[in-house]
Amino acid sequence: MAWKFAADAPIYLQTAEIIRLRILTGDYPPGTYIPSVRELAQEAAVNPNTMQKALATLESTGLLTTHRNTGRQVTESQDLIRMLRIEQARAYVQSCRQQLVTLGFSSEEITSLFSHWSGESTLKKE
Amino acid sequence: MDSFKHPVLQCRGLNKSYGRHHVIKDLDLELSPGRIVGLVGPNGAGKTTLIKLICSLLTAQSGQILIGGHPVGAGSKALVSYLPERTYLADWMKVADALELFADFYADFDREKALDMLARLSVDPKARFKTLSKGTREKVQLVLVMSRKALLYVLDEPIGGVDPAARDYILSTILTNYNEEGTILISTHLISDVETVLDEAIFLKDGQIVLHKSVDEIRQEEGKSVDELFREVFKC
Amino acid sequence: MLIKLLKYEFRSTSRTFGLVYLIMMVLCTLTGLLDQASELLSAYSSIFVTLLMVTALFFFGAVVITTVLNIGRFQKGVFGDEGYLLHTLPVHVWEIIASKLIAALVWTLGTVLVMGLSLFVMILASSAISLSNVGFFFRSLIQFVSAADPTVLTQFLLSIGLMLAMLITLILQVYASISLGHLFPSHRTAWAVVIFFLLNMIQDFFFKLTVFRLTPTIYADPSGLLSFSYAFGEINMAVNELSPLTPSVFLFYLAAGALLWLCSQLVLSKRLNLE
Repeated sequence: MAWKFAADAPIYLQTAEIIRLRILTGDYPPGTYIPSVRELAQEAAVNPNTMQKALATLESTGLLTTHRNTGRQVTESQDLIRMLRIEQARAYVQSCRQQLVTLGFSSEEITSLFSHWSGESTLKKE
Repeated sequence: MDSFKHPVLQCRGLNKSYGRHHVIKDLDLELSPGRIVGLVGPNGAGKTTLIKLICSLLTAQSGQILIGGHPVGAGSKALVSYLPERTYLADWMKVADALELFADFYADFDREKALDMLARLSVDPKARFKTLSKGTREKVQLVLVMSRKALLYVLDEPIGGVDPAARDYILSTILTNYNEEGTILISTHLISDVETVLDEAIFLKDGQIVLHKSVDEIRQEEGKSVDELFREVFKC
Repeated sequence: MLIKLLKYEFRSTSRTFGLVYLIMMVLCTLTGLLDQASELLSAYSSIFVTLLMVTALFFFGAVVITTVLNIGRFQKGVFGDEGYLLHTLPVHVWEIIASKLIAALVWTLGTVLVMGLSLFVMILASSAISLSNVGFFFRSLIQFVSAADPTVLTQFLLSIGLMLAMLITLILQVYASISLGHLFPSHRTAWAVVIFFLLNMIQDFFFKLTVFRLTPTIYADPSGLLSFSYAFGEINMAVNELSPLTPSVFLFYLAAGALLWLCSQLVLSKRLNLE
C-alpha cells in the first residue's frame, strides 16, 4: 500500500514524519536497522531521492545514524526517543486542546473531558 | 558534483511545426542525472511531439538536442530507453524473440532481470505477441524498456488508460528498476497518480515550458500539490 | 549491427516466403505427376489442365507477393509502427537501408530461382525429359561454356551483372519514392506512386542524354542483349554487339542507384517524421 500524503507539504517532510512516528511507536525499535532506501521507497511508492532526503532529515535530528556498509540504524539512546515521544504527546494534546477550545470548552471542562473518556478511548483504540 | 558531467538531456531553441501548426516553440530544457521528471500538460500541449523529437522519430525545424552530450544519432540512441504510447513489437514475434532483439542491439540490456520480471507477471516467454492482451503487451514493453541500464528513460503516457492495479505495477516497476544514475522522463496527464514518485515537474503549455521545478519546491512555495497547481495553470 | 538487422529482417519474412516457395514446389510437382498420369488415364487430363492453370496463377501470385512484401517491409517497417522500434535502435541509417535492400534482393532472386527450380521439377515429374537428358543438357552446357570464346562468356556474366544492377536500382527507386513521399504531410502513399513514375521519367531522360548519346547504335533494352536457345542438344548463344555498351550502362545504373540511395538516406536522417 502506498502511503498517503497531504497536498500542502513537501513529500519528503511527510515521508520523514511517517518514519519518525514508526521509530517513536517502536515499529522500528532502538538500535535496529531500518529497511533500505529502495525498499522503503517502493513501500511508500515515492521516489528513492525523496526517501533519501527524508532519511537525511531524520539523521540530522539524531534519530538515525548511517553506517557505511550496514545501512541505517535507529538511535540506541532510549532517552532521546523518550524525549521525542513526550514532545509528540505534547503536540497531540495541544492540537486536540486547540480544537476543543474552538468548540467552546473551557480549560477545566477539557481536563474533565479527558479523564471522563480516557477509559473509553483506550478501548476504542484496541 | 553533477556539474562535471554532461546534462542527461539538453534541448536548445527547439522548434517544431506541422504545416502552419506550431507545436513546439523555442523550447529550452535541461535534465540532470538521477531524477524522475514528470512532463505534464493537457492533450495537444506537445508532450508526445517533444518526446518524439528527443527519440529522433521527428525532426525539428530548428534547435539542438544533446543526450549525454551526444547529438542525436546511433550514439545517442544507445543511451535512450523509449516506451512509446503504442505497441511497436511485431505480431509474429514471441516474447523471447523480443528479448533476444533487445539483447542483440542494446549493450545495456539485462536479460536475467527481464526474465525475472516476466516470470513475476507470469508471462510465458514462448507466447506470441499476437496472443497477448493489449495490457499484457504494454507491460512486456515496459519490462523490456526498464531492463536496460540507460542514461535516459523516456516513457510516453505509461499509465494512460490502465486500471489502478496495473498502474501500481507500472509505477513500482519504474521505481525499482531504473538505473540510479539515469533520469526518467514520464509524460502524463494524470498527475495525482504519479506525483509522489516525481522529483521534478515540467508544465508544458502550447509547446512551451511554463514551469520546471522540483515537486517539493512547488509544494513548499505554493502550499499545494502539483496536481492542484496544474489545475490552476491549465484552467479552461 | 547490419548483420543483426538482417537477422531480424529475414526472420520476419522467411515464414511467408518459405510458405510461398513450398506451395510453388508442391503445385509444380503435382502438375508434373498429373501430366504423366493423364497420358495413362484421360480422366486426369481435366484435373491436369485445372492444376496447370492454378500453378500459372500462383506463379503470377508469387511475383505479386514478392513485390508487395518487399515494398511493405520498407514502407511499414521504416515509416510505420515498427519504425518506432527501428529508429530507436542504435543503428546507422545506411545500415537500415542496406538491410532492407539486401533482404529484398535476396527474396526477389529467391523467387526467380524457386520458380525456375519448380518448373524444372515439373518437367522432370512429367517425364517429358528423362534424367539422362538432363544430364546431357548440363554436360553440353559445361562443354559449351568451356569451349566458348572468353569475350562471349564475359559478356554473358556482364549482362547478368547488369540485370542485377538494374534490379538493385529498381528497389532503390521504390525506396526513394516511399521516402520522398514521406516528405508530404498527407497522402504519402499516393505521392510515393507519383514520385516513382517521375523518377522513371527522369532516369529515362538521363539515360538518353548520356548512355544513348555516347553510343547511339546500342540496344536500349538490356533484356534483349543476350539470346539463349537450347535445341536438339545444341546450345546457341548469341551475344549482340554490346561491348561498348555494358560498361557505360553499368556506370549509369551505379550512379542512378547511388543517387536514389542518397534520397532515402537524406529523408531518413534529416526529415523523418513518424506519425
